[in-house]
Amino acid sequence: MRRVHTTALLLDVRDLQEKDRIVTFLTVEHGQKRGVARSARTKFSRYAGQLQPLAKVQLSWFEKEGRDLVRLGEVELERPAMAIMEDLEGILLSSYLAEHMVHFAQENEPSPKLFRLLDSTIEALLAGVDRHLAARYYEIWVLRLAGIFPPPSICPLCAQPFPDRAVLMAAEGALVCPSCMPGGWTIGAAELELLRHSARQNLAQLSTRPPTAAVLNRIEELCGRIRRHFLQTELRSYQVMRDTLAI
Amino acid sequence: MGVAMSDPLARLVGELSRLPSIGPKTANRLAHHLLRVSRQEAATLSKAILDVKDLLFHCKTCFSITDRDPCLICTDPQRHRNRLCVVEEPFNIQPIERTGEHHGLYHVLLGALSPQRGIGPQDLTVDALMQRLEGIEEVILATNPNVEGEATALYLARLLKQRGLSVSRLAFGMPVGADIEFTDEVTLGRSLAGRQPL
Repeated sequence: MRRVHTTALLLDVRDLQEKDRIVTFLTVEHGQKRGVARSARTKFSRYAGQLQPLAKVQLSWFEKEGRDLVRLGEVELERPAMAIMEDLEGILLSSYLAEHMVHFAQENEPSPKLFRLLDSTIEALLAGVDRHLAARYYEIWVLRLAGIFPPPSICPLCAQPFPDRAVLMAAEGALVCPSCMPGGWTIGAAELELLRHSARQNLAQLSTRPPTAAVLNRIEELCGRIRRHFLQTELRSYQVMRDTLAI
Repeated sequence: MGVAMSDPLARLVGELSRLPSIGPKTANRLAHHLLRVSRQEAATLSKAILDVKDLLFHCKTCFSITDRDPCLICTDPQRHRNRLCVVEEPFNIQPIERTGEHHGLYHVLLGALSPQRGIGPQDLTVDALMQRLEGIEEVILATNPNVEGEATALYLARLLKQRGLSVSRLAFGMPVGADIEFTDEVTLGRSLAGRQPL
């Protein structure tokens, strides 16, 4: 049995039978992992309130070869994320961010970039960066790191620079120029600019000259279409977020 | 290699080990215990299990588990009919009843909002709750103190406040008898945020 100690971001915590919980977490060195926190549901559990989604923790686990689930040992809270989850929108957004990692981060494979993306996004949200902007930046970068949505510099079909708009080629989940595909779902110059800026600037820099809500809405739609094309399904949290906030 | 169990015994062990908190060893012990009891005792247990399935159902008003509709709590004339306590599951009612602090009615949501599991408002009994608010003045949201419970409470609070109702939530904090020294930051932080004036 091997003992591992590292920093992790908690993605999901769900009940397991009477007393235990299954914790899904993301690490730099080992990617996504799932572990059992024994007796985490009992009144005087040593894990107490530390197993909260998106919390940054120092944790240790024990693993046996050939087993998917590890056994969690000590968990020490390094940075709680409760401040993001003080309202309904914050809780829903947190679940949405976490579910991206559950789908895009590989198990048992180093994920330094995805870890850094989620970590910095949580940090920015805790610092008060606009949630709409943070969510769109995060979506763009998750797709980018998955290798399916590079920054739009030239049209992949004709290799010419994009003019003031681009068309989403649904079958490929990629942006092309209007000359190569005259009709279809398009984004404009402001959206293209945000996609390019997000490749060079961090969230704090982007938030000094924030895009309009209309631009962010269009980017949300674009990323949603590419994500659905890639995953062949929609994230559950995205659907619940839309249903819940439609009141 | 262990002694092979005859088929009915293996089947019983298999069925028992599917129950929550029952591992193969416990299932084996229970099965051998049942082998030793009288046929009458085994039949009583078997009938009790089938009765639970045949005779119990959800109350159409509050969605608790009952053998009559409306349930005993919904029809109890002694209860305060202007106060409603909302819980996630039917088994959450008993612990609250044992406190003796709530004398009003209940409403069971049959779950909690859970974005990552795809459980949204339409999967809960929210519509039924909104349809039974006539005469209700206060709603107590007794959902669990976790992310799902908190999301559910915040969602319901938003809906209920639109109807002009008084909405309260169970307090968060340290358990009675606990020690500050051994309390985690999250729980202690919540206790401080929810402190009461003296």
